[in-house]
This record gives sequence, C-alpha cells and structure tokens, in this order.
Amino acid sequence: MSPRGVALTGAVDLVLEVSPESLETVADTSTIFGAVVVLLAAYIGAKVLARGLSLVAERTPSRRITIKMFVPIVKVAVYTLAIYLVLVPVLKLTAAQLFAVSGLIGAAIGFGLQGLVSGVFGGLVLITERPYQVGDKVTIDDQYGEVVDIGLRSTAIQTPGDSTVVVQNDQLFQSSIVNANSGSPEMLVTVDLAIAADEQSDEAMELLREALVTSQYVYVDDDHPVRVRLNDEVTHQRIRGRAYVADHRDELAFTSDVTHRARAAFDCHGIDTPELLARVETD
Amino acid sequence: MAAELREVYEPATPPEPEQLLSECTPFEDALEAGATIAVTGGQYAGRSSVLEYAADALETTQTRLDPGESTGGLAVEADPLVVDNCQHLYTRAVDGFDRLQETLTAIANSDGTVVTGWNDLAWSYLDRIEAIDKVFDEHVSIQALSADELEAYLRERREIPTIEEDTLGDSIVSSETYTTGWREVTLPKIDFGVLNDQLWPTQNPAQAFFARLCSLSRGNPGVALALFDQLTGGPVSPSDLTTPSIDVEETGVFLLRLLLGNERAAPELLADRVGGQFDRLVGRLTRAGITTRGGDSLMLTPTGVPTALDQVERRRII
Repeated sequence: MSPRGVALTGAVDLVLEVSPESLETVADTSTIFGAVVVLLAAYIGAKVLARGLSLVAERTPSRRITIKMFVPIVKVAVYTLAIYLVLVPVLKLTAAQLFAVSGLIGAAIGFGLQGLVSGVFGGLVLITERPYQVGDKVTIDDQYGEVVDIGLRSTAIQTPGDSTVVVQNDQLFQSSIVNANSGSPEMLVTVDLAIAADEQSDEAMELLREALVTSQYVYVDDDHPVRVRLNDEVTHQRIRGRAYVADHRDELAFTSDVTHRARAAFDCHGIDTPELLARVETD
Repeated sequence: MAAELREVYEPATPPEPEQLLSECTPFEDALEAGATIAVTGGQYAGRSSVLEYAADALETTQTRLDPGESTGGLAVEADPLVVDNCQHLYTRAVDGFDRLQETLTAIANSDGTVVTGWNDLAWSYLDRIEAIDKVFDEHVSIQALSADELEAYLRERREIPTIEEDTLGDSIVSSETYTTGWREVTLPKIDFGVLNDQLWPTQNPAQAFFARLCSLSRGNPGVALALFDQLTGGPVSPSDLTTPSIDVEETGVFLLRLLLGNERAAPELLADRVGGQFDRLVGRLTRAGITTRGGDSLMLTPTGVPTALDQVERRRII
C-alpha cells in the first residue's frame, strides 16, 4: 500500500492518509488564493455565458427556447470544470483516495445535507431528462409561469404577475409538472366566452373562430389547428375556442385580443351574453 | 406615387412568364382544359405578367380587384375569367371573410375557366385557415429568380455601371468603440464580411454584386430593380446595395404583415386593426422608406418589401 494511499482494515475502518506535501499544498496561501480565483472566475464566467446566451436567445424569438436550453448545461459544465481544477491539483488525490473521499462525502450528505443534495440531484435529472427547459411555461406545485433559470439546486419561475417563484429541484420527484409547450415556442391557449342560453350558437361560434384566426398572435397549420366547441351550462352556453400562439409569451395578449374583438362582434350581431345574477343581500 | 410605382414596376417591366414559372406546360394545359387556377406570387414579383399571358391565351382581358370593393363575390359566371389581386376578397378581421367564402363556393361550382391571382402570403394564410388550395384544380407559384437570371433581367432593362469589389481589408477582427454615458469602451468585433470573403472568395465583383442583389431581393425582380435604381451613377460595389432598416415593436410588425398580404390597403381598415398607434407607425415606416401612400391606399415600397419580410419572419406572424 502506498504511503499516500488508503488502507482498509477490517470491514469498517477507513483511514485516509494524506501526504505531508499535500497538506502543505493545501495550506499554502497562494494555492488558496488560486482556488478562490478559479471559483470566482467560474462564477463570473458562468454568469457571463448565461447572460450572453440569453441575449442571443431574446434576439431570435423563433429559436429562443432552443438556445436557452443550453444555459443550465453551460453553467454545470463551468462549475464542474472549476471544482475539478481546484480539488484535483490541490489535494493531489489518487483514484483510491477519490473513492474514499466520495464515500465520506456520501455519509456526510446522508446525515446533514440531504435536502441540498436531493435538490442538486433533481437539477442533474432536470438537465439530463429535461422535463422542462428554460423558456418553457410550466405549472409546478400550483405555481404557473415561465422558467427563467434552472440552477443546480432550484428552478426560478416568472409568474404572469412578474413575481419570481423559486422551486426546489427535488419537487421533480414529488410533484406533477405540467409543461404547456415542451420546448417549442407555440402554445395552446383557451378562450372561453358565454352567450345567453336561448341564443343561436352557430353564428357565435363562427365569430369566435374568426376572432381567433385573425389575431396577430395566432399560429395555425395542420399540426396546430383552431377548434371551437360549445358546452351547455345551467344558465348559459359556453363557447370555448382553442388556438396556438406563435410565442407563448403572447398568451395573455392573445386571450385579451380575441375576447375583446369577439365580444364586439357579438354586440354587433345582437348576440346576448348572459345577465349577471343579482347579488342576494343577506342579513 | 402609387400610380408611378405601378407604371414602373408592374406590369411594364416584369419578366416573361417562361422565366417566372418553373414549368409553363402544366399551366398552359390547365388553361386549355378550362380549369380553375390560382397563380400566387409576391408583390412586385411579376404575377401580373403571368395573368396577362393567361388573358391573352384565353382571348379575354385581365381585371384587377382593388381594396375597398367589398360587396358580393366574384362574378365567376363570366367565362373565361382572369382576375388579379384576389387577396382583396378578404380582410383580416372578424366578419372579413364573407366575400371570400361566397367566391370560393362559386369557383368550386364553376364549369368555366377561372384564373385568379393571389399574393403569396395571403394565399399561405388562407390555406392555413380555410384550406383554400383544395378549391382550385391547379396552383401555380411564381418562382424566385436566381442571381444569373436577375443579372440577365437587369442587363436587358438598365445600363450596368462598372462593378468594383468591396474594399473590406484583411483583418477578420476589428475594434469598435462604444460610448455608454461618460465612458468609452473599445471592444473587438468580428467582421463577417471579411470572414465570408476569406472562406468563400468570389471570383469576380459582378458575381458578388448580383449574388447580393438576389439575396436582398429574395429573387423578386421588381424589388431587385428598385434596389438597383437606388444606386447613383459611377462605379458600384456589392455593399452599395442596401434595404431600409427599422426596428418596430410587434404591433408595427403586424401592420407590415397586413401590408405584405394585402399589397395595398385602406388606412382606415389598417388603423382599425392596429389601434391608436397607427398614425405614428405609418409616419416612422414612411420616413424609413418602407411604406408609401398611394391615393386612398397604403402600400409597401419595393425596397421596403425585404425589410418587412425579415421583420415578419423573425416574429413568426402568419
């Protein structure tokens, strides 16, 4: 057994022998300074690369999500490289020592850092399996919005109200995730309108369809059809239109545009919308 | 202004139908068979030339729809019928498709020869939402001209001055100074022109000039002619060819999309779709040389067409 190696005695005794030169290397001020510089450079480099990719992505709306998909991958690659650059030369670990250290780290994680590490593993699963990507519209734990960042530990979601919600990545293993667009810029949007129960529904359905297909935000082709359906409710008829927007960021603008123009057309054609129920005053 | 544009760019100098259609025989066969035909092509691309050819072959005259003719469908009982600008049969608004529906039904039931001309973007939009392609027996697209074809087209109509190569320098990396507030920052910049020239050296300046003209105009002869006419006398080089540039927000891009599809449209109709920003947008677009007012209509200038297409494709507005 090498003096710098690992000695396994019996079934449970684990002795990690670190050479004096190694300890000197670790204690050396310039080495510590070098490690700090590498980590700082990695932090700044990852930020700059992520920002650069985001800027490029925002300038090309049709490929925005594809480009943003690389942001978390680049971050992980930069941080992994930095950790490698810091740990391996500083500690000068052999393969056996690395094995032993990983065992120790595993034990430490098991007791104290379980939450953090499950988040990190969730992040790694997110990057490899990609149930959602940066730029997707998702619902996680009742939080709906656009994924703006996937970190190693957590995912940031920007809600329609412009709040940022941070969700731990280990929610991936516990919650159901709804992805509205799965990496493509198009997204299905539903617009509901109501007409009075005794109104002719055909004309209203055609008007809603025209409002959908004439919107500036709509995206229609054979794979992205426009559909209008009628549902009878107790007090009224509900007309539900479903169409895709070319860019999921236009979801609310599309809904507003279609609703506004369809309602104006209903008024113009004398199609009644249901009366609001009178509020019942209670003592 | 609009009358002048029509006089210069259409139909006075479009290429011959043989140049515009990849194959003339199916088109001639369809005319002889008394089919219903749709001819699609971009603004200034020479669609009128193909329809004129059809009108001559059928011994009739070509009619053109104007924006604002908004009552009733086409009188398809006239046999044969050759009509251009059929994109004016609809407006992109609620209640804007009645006339189109009426006409499509009449064409589907027609026994006579009907040749219709459509703007290609309007056709593509209508095909997405109404499957309009299925109504016609034959669909003929006007093809984009290649760089060589554009060169021949221009040499027939214009005197070409001496073409010189661009003096791009030798260095791929140059520097550019940006001023932000009180600071000046000099950053390295890659010169893609030099890089492109070094990777794919062009044999001669004329070849580079017409390749750039073809790329900018997307093979549209009317647009290419207008881009060329912008150049002043004397030696010219590829980099002298430019299109107007503007950065407009999404409502402005939607306005450009409406103009690209309609080719000409009544300002009131456009204002109804675009909203309160309409006058300001039109002012900016007109100052940039992208739109022009002609009579009662607003239209894109020939050189404004590539700019509008770039903006619309970037925003993916159908």
